[in-house]
Amino acid sequence: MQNEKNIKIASWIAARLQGVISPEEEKALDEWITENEAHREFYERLVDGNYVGRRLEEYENYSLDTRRVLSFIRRESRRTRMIRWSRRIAAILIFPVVIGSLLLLKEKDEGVLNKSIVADVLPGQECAILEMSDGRKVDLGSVSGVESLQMEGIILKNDSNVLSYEGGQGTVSDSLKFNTIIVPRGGEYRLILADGTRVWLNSQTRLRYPVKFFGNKREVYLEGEAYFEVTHSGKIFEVHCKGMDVQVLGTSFNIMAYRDEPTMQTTLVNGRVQVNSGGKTGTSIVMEPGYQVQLDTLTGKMEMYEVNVANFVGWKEKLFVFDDENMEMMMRKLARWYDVDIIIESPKLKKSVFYGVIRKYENISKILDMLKRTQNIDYVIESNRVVIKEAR
Amino acid sequence: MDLNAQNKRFREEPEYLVKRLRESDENAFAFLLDTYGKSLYFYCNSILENNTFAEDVVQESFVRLWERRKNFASLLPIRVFLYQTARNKCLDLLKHEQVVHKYEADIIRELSEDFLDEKMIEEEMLGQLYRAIEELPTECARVFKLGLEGLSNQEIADTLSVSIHTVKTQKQRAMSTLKQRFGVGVIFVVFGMTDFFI
Repeated sequence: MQNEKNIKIASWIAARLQGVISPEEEKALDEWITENEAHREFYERLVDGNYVGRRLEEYENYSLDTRRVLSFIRRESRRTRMIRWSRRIAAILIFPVVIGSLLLLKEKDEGVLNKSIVADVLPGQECAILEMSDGRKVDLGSVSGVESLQMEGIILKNDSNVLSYEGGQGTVSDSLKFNTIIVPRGGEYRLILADGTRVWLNSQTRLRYPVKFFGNKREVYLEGEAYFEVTHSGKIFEVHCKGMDVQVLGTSFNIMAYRDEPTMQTTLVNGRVQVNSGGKTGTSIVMEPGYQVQLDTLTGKMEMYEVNVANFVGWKEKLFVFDDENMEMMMRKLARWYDVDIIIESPKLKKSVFYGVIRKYENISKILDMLKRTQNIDYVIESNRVVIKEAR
Repeated sequence: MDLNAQNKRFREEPEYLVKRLRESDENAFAFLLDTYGKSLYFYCNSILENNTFAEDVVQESFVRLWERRKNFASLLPIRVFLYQTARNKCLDLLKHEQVVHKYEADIIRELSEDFLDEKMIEEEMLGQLYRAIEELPTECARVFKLGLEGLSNQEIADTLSVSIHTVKTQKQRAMSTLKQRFGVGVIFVVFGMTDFFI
């Protein structure tokens, strides 16, 4: 029990120095000091004015980095919350099945189909438009478009909807040729660049890239969100975004750089990347796997956080992963995928936070119904507009 | 409840703080980290003489506290637990280091129990002083700190270029604030001790 005694002694000394020691404590402290010579020496050294002053200065100047341990704790308690959430989801999924079968039975009985038509929004799909170097635009979903691509030596893997430039017969003149793939709202697409680098493109995203890489740098231009698996070729691969560049050798990472988001996020899955912020006050951060760099588009400030990487690349596995996500950001994601405008009526709701994993290829009503049952919200769908309000 | 109000309540009602920690409140944990982290760091650093290692040990000790959060009924055992865990981790680390550098005799330091106890008293005492001063109004804190360093009222007045009268008023203000707060502190120490023995 020496440690408790130590804390008590410390409290007595602190109290005496502050002039707030009680007579009983004073007596106990003096007994301890006079117990032996070592205690007396230690005490006198400790309460020396200069020494205390210097040490307090040290306390003032030092600040403990608490982020690491706090993020660890938060992740831990979030994991338990996630489990609770998934239980709730399971309960929610069973509920409509029961109601649905009841309705079916009823319909059969009456022999009349008296369906009420509820507006809904279908999920997005794999689609994209390719803009060629000469300005021609090809819809990657149409047959005629596909044929014209093969003429250019680009392969469209139809079965899996991947556009591939790999192994194309390039000539030096191709180095001047840039193509742009445009994924609209409500779309997603995959692409294999000439060097074998694989790119997943999320909704409302544009990527500009050379048909063939020449020179000692591989450079592409991104607006929107994309996940890269860069092949190792010894040449630097560089992604240019508005106000930010990401440089890598061979590695996997996700970049989210939408114009309507307050931050640009670079999340590293493996390998090493360097993020450079543009502008006059440009700075660089070298990242390690498991971290995310957020660049505030307003102030240009960059900060690195430890994150659960799976949350930020879930979209390419056809999932929405919401982990401590606020309503506004979540709705921006839904709006891009379902190609709708989403209006949140209550300012209070905008700040509320969500946890959950939901499949992307479901109608929007499915996701909104889930939210409705776990959160205090209600919603209305009007053609391509969704209004979220507080439930009464 | 906003964070400031909550932290104030944590400070004034240790039983509430411990209860919230038991209920896995991250804010309660963050409060403990803010309050006791510095002393623990300086304690570890005096043993390890290495800031990086010391910081690691502090982080690990707090993670251990989080893992055991359900086991604590009062504040004093939490503080004891933090020091005890940190001390064990530091000694393990040193032992490991000494095995690694077996032949570099100068790295082997004898750490007696008395040394470790003294360091604990020292950092705990300084931590308490530091927190007390931190909560005083700025002017008040400045006067109080110079007083602690052994300066007379006249010397403090000269250092801060204020009148001796101001120094006296500020000192009185500091004393009444500290006395008020310390009343609570004594109660919780006693409280913590008693139910630790039950």
